[in-house]
This record gives sequence, structure tokens and C-alpha cells, in this order.
Amino acid sequence: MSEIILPILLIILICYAFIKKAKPFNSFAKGAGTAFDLALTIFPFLVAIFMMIKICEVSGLLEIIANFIAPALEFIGIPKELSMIVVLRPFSANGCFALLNDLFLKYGVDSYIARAACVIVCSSDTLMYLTALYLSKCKVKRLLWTLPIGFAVSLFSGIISCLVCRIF
Amino acid sequence: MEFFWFLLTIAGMVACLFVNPSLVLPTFTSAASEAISLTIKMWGVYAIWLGFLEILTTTNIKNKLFKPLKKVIKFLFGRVDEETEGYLCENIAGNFLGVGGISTPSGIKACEKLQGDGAVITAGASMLILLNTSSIQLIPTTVIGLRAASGSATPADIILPCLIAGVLTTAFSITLTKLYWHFRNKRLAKKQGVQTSCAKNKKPRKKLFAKMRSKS
Repeated sequence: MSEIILPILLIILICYAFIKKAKPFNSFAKGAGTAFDLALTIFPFLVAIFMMIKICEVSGLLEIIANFIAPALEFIGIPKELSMIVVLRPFSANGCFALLNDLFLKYGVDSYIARAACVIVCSSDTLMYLTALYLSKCKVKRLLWTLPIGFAVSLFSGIISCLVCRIF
Repeated sequence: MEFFWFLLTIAGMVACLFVNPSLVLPTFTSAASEAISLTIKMWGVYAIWLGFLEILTTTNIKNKLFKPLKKVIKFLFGRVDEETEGYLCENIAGNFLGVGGISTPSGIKACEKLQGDGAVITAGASMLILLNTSSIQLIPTTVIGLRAASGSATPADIILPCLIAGVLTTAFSITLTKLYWHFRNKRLAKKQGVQTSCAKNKKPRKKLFAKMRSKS
């Protein structure tokens, strides 16, 4: 059902634009033309962020961090199997999807662990990537407490996800 | 950001030296090529969605469509000008529908306008980033697809928990951000000995029954 809604909305949009003589073809081309500059702007920051995330993943640093804070997470209600996903979520979306697949294989798709992991992945987003991307056009030097608040939000999303999956 | 990037990259490199030193440079180059392929993919996605957004803009339905969001934006970001409001509406709508191609370009433009030229992050920009971090997705299609592919009996039963968790996380993130900036502004105002901005921008309250009084 959800796959139908967006195409229908787009059909309505294009037809409306055509009827109102808003030149959909030219407008579309004009809009699409700006995409190149945007992609070029974000590219350097993507390289820097990916570099940071990949080296942390490959060296096992995130695993060490996850194992280190697992007892603390266990105390606030996040099972230790999910500590890796909670740590990884603010850093990498693709890594999280790979971890999800691993958890599906290990614990079963419909198990509590797997469902809680899915909710964790859906209810928060990749903080580091977003920050770098959104601030790519700005000359910001000091972020104040933005990132710590972001990590607190990701942690909260982990706690809430586990809670919600217990109830539902 | 500088601090976090520095800390994590150095820590990662040092850890890698202990695990397998020969992996450091290949990891960097593979990360760069991943970034390139993602950029090219995103170029395509942004081209499509920026095109549709341009059509939306030229037909002027945008204002009518995004009317309900304007109150939300006023609450979250205070008073912003027309253009920024438009970008923020697109960003929020895109996040809700789960279309990254709409929300990311609009988010970048909105952040640029909210931040301006300052070297210190503004309340608007940080609210935008934190709002996007706590995503509310109406239907998390990627995860449902993954579950279905792994043979789940009920792949779509994740929708309700995700919605509830998303709403609660967003509420938490908005509350935390608002609290932080409230106390920060208060602290700065005390330091400078000036009135806080919330007092400055307050509209004079309409006197109750003023019209009736003036008529009688």
C-alpha cells in the first residue's frame, strides 16, 4: 500500500503542474541541475566521515566500546546483545543493517532481540553523518553540546525501543 | 565535530595498529571509494527529488500543502523567514514519508539559512540536526523489507513499535534541545546583563474585551 501512495501523489503533482501551465519538464530539469553542486558539496565530508567510521569498525574499536558499556546498558534495560547496535547506530546505517542481518540469523527474525534491534534502527538516525552533511555548507567551528545531546537521544531511543518491544 | 572526528579516527588507527597494521591504508581507500559510490547514487536520488520539488514550488501548492506544519515549525524554530520555512517543511515532510531524497537537500539548505555565517552553532541549526536524528518514520520500508527477506512471519508488525518509539524519542530530543538552549541563553544574558530574547520578542498581549470596552 505504501508503495502506491508516493507514485500517486507524484502523478497528481505532475498533472496539476501541466494543467496549470507550470512547465513541469523545465522545472524538473532546473531542479535536477542543482543536484550536482549539492553532491559535490557533501562529498568531502562523506569521505572524512566514512574514513572515521570504517577505521573504527575494522579495528574493532566499536566492539571494544560496546563490550565495555554492555553492563551499564544491561542495567538500564538494553540487553547486552544489542549494545553493539546501540553504539553503532549514531555512526553508520549500513553497518547497522549488516548487524541486523547477523542478529536475524543468530536469534531468529521474530525474536525479542531482533525486533528490538529493528525498532532501534528505525527510531533514531545516523548522528555523525547527518551533522557533517547538514553543516557542510556552513562555517561552523563550535558545536557546543549538539553531539552529546545527539548521543543521549540515541541512547534514549535504545532504551525506549527495548521497552516498547517488551510491551508489544 | 573536530574533536569527535579527531578522537575516533586516531583511536581507530591506534587500535588497528594493534590488530592488523596493514589494514589501515586499504581501509581508508575503500572508505573513500564507498563515499564516491554513495555520492554518485545520491546525485541521482537528489536530481529526481530536487526536480519534483522544483515542480512543487512553481505550482504554488507548497504553501497550502504545508500549512499544518507551519505551527510546528514556529514552535521548534521560532520565527523564520519564508524560504527557510519552506525548506524546513520539506525536510519534516520528507522524513515523515521516509524519502531521504527530499529531506536531505532541503535539510542542508535549511541548515545553511538557520546557521548563517556564525562560527558557533545556532539553536535553529542544532534543533534541525537533533530533530533529524530522532526520526519518526510512518512506514519503515527498508527494515520491513529486510525482515520479509529473512523469512519473518509478520514483517510489518514492527510499524507500531517504531512509530511509538520514534514519537517518544523525538519528544525527548526536542525537550532536551529546548532545555539546553533555554538555559544557555539565560546564562549568556546574565553574563551580558541584557534581556533574554524571549522577553524581547514577546508580542504585546491583546487586552481582553478591549474592543467591547472601546465601543461602550
